[in-house]
Amino acid sequence: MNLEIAPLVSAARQGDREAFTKLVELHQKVAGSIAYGILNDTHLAADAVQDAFVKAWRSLDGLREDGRFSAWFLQIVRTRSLDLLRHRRRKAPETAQLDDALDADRGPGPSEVLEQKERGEKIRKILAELPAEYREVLMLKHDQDRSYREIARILGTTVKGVESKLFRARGALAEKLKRLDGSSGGDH
Amino acid sequence: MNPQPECHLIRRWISQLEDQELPPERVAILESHLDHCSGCRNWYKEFQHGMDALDLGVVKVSGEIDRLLTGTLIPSKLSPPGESEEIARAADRAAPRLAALAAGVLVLISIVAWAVFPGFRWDALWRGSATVGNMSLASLQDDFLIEIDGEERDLSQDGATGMIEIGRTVRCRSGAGEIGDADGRVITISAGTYLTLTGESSVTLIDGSARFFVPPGKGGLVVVTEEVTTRVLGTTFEVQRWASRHRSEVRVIEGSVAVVRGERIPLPLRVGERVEVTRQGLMFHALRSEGETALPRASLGWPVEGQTDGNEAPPAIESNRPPEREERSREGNLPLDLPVNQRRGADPDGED
Repeated sequence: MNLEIAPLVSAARQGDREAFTKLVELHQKVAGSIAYGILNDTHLAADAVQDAFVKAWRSLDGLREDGRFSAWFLQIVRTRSLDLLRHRRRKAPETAQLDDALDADRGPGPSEVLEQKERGEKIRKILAELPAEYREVLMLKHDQDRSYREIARILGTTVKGVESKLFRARGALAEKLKRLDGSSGGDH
Repeated sequence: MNPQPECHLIRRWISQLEDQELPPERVAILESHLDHCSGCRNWYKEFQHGMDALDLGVVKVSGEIDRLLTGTLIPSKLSPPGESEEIARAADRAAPRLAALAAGVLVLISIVAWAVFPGFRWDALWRGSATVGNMSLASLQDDFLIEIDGEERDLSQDGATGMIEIGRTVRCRSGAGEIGDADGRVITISAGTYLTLTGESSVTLIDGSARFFVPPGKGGLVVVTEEVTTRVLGTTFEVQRWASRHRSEVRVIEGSVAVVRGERIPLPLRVGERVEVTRQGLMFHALRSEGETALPRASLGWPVEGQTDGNEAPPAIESNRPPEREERSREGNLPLDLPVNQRRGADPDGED
């Protein structure tokens, strides 16, 4: 991955916006997962990622090795997310209402799709109840399908630490899921 | 009922197996254990069920973030890398000298002012008139927190004030506040507002909502979003934008405004009316007030044949829905869905 990234970083340093666009595309998803893990809010996560990209672009000169862009950038994402966490506020309620209205506009699909959507929403709520450290590792594994080694590098921990945290996070999630299924009479 | 110590280890291995991180030599041991341990078999089944559910939730979150991010970061609009850092560094170096110079000038002015006008008060210098090229900033709530070009500015005390230069980009993180100029134009911002003060009489709204008050006879104001441009002379109106959906809404509170998309004929909007515009040019137009008859109006998609001055209403077209229809949009408006973009695909903005 670094082989692919280093030339892009080098070109971006020279002001090549196309190269930076590619870097954005390559990192957008993982950055979103990390930011969401910390912030537990998709709107704030998107803000954090956006801010981090702008900061990265402006500070490219401060990056010593082009090949280390990913780790450097994801650290910016984490720092920015933690900054926002300190000042977290809900997005303007009107926006949320519109989003809901627009979602409703799409109209219900087949019942299976609707059920899956509802279940997805419930799981999302469970995910939101988990500690940030669990959510972060679950997002990196299940959304990004990163290896333990990669996750360890991103989070600045050990492979063993990642494995252990994932196991505990899944355990916590399973407990909540069991309660959810019990209370809703098993909607799966 | 409690799992044996060995079972604990096996369950961790199951988790690793799921992640394709279990060494091959342990896979056989795991399989052998599952053959004779019904507790772990059940646990495995539940684990897989949990993983499926988790994937569902994660996909939902991930999709939402993707949707929010799509189109919000446009690298081509970024300034050259490092430039702002250099400017910032240069500004840092110059700041102490400039501050000393400014302090000296202020002392000199105050000595002269006191000598000439004994009743002189400092705040008379800026009261009611912001410095040219600057706008005033005032907090309306005690949690007002903004970022100016990415730099956090804390105005978290009710009534706290500051200045902001034209050309800056403002993002409101929390609370509410006002940006005002010497002509009495006021922009009220709140959590989520993201805009650029592009000129003395123009604002670009990137995301969120803002309310604009423009006093009559003060040169008007132009508010631009990616979807629509709103021109006003003297009025109060709100513009809201959902960047992730490429959708803007203009709502008139007092007076009237002219909204225009690209080179199309401006559409006048009056008190209580609002318009929604998407990137594709689709547009909905409605009356807010309950009980008012919703009149069908022309759309922004009307082809241009000789530009008009904006005060002239374009020809009306029939709405497909009767005005008394019960269906209501959010806020209880009577929607008038107009098939507006007659030239879809040929975006006159040239930005899409």
